Amino acid sequence: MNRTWTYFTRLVAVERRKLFGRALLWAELGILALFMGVIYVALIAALNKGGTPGTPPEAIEAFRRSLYWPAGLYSAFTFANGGELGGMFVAVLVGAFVAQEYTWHTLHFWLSRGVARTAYLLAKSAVIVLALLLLVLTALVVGGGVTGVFTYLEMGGLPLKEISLLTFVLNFLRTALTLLPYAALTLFLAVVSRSTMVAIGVSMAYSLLVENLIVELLALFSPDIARGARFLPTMLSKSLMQLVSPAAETQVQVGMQTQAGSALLSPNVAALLLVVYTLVLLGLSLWFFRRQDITV
Amino acid sequence: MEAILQTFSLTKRFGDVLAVDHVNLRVNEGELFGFLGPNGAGKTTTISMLVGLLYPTEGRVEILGDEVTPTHTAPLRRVGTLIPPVGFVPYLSGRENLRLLVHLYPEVDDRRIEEILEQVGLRDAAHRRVKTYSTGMKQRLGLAAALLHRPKLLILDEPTSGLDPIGMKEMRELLRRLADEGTTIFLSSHLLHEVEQICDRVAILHHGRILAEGTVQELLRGRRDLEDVFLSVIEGN
Ligand SMILES: Nc1ncnc2c1ncn2[C@@H]1O[C@H](COP(=O)(O)OP(=O)(O)O)[C@@H](O)[C@H]1O
Ligand SMILES: [Mg+2]
Repeated sequence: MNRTWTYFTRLVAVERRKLFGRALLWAELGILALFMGVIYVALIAALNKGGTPGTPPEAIEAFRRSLYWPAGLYSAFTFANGGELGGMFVAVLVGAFVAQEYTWHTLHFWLSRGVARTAYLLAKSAVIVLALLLLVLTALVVGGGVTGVFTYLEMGGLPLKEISLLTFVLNFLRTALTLLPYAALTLFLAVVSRSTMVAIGVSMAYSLLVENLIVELLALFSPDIARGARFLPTMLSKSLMQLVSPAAETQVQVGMQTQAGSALLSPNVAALLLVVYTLVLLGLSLWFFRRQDITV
Repeated sequence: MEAILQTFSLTKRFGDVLAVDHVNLRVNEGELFGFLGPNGAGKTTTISMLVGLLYPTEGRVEILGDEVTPTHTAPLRRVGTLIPPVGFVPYLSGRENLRLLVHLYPEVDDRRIEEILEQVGLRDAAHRRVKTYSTGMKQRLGLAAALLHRPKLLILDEPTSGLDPIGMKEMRELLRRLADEGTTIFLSSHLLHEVEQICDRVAILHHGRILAEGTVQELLRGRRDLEDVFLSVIEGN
């Protein structure tokens, strides 16, 4: 057991070096940071100009409050969640990181040296989780940073007493959790297709297009059938993110069917289902990977 | 003599193609064994089964006395493998790629890495990213990766492919020296003279089947050279 663990941590070290030595990872984090920075600054600028003419002052006030800490801090997490930008970033990162092992023959290189297939894929998955945490951290630092400065300037201090460490950590983990099924889906696609293009393409198409399409298709039938959409990862993510950042999620939902809120599963059930999706996809990936012929 | 590598009725079918057809091999300790065959004979497919990348359709593989399958590859940690194109991480340097292997072979230290880089003539290029390397350089780094942990057994798939004539000669001399020092080597090649020059024993593979096997002297009996042996064996089949 102990030796197995040592061996596993060594493989994780190899995969960590491979992933964290990659320009792609840092480029993704840079893009996310830049994008979020621009959005937050634009929001604050718009706010300070008083919003569009005719906006009721209460609405502007509510919006302003949503940018103050702690709400502003937690709103940063929404950018990294799986149902939104996060899902896209994960598709690109995991697709490239896993599928390129086949095309670069790095897979052949390590497996032919006696690395066990299960350990190999699990080590890769562990490192992917590290990268997801880094993604959430980036969103937090940028979004939390900008809103923090804003809060400080407007209120002359930060309401640190209102921020519970437990809630903060939980929200961090909840956000990362919403990314897991998308990462596992991409992992599965990469293993089965062995193609970077297919893995990234199909995973992105799913999270950007297919999932929303399913939601709308289901809505065409009876309300009961439409409620089936609650079980899709994107809706599960929404359910969790509503807990993380109620203000931001309500904004997102403007325009969606108004009963969306009531149609979501409870956050605890959603979290559990996200874990189930992830484990099932990871299990399927392992099952395929172990039986696969690694051809040259 | 002790068998270091053995296959029993090893067979691989890809759809209609019978790439490897009931191959029985036995490589003894200390031998430099040549696995000779033209392009498409089934050399790479056989080697891929030896190192647990492919599932045999039939038959099995034993290495260092232990069975190897794609889900049981532990014996391969004591083997050095070179299967081009060698899968280095392209955005890491040659040296960093070798350093990754230290996680797998804890007995390897920095001194050993520098020593092996020197030995394969890559000391000056070791800091460059592998993606800037030529095919020959990648091949030599591949050899370094195979030799790094001083394995008892080397499994090499056409190790001289992609090398220039001088590189080929150096590779042959190095392999012969390693064999003389006690390393068992299984190498595939489609180059008859290469095999004739350095190998102790040879198996000739054609359309996935072993057509002849023996020491170079045994095969050469009454023949001009291995080419002559090879052609007559193939024609007689
Ligand atoms: N993945 C594969 N799918 C289908 N046929 C294959 C595959 N790999 C190899 N083959 C076929 O198996 C035969 C042996 O190929 P290979 O082992 O690469 O030969 P060699 O290495 O001796 O040149 C060839 O006919 C080749 O086309
Ligand atoms: Mg070949």
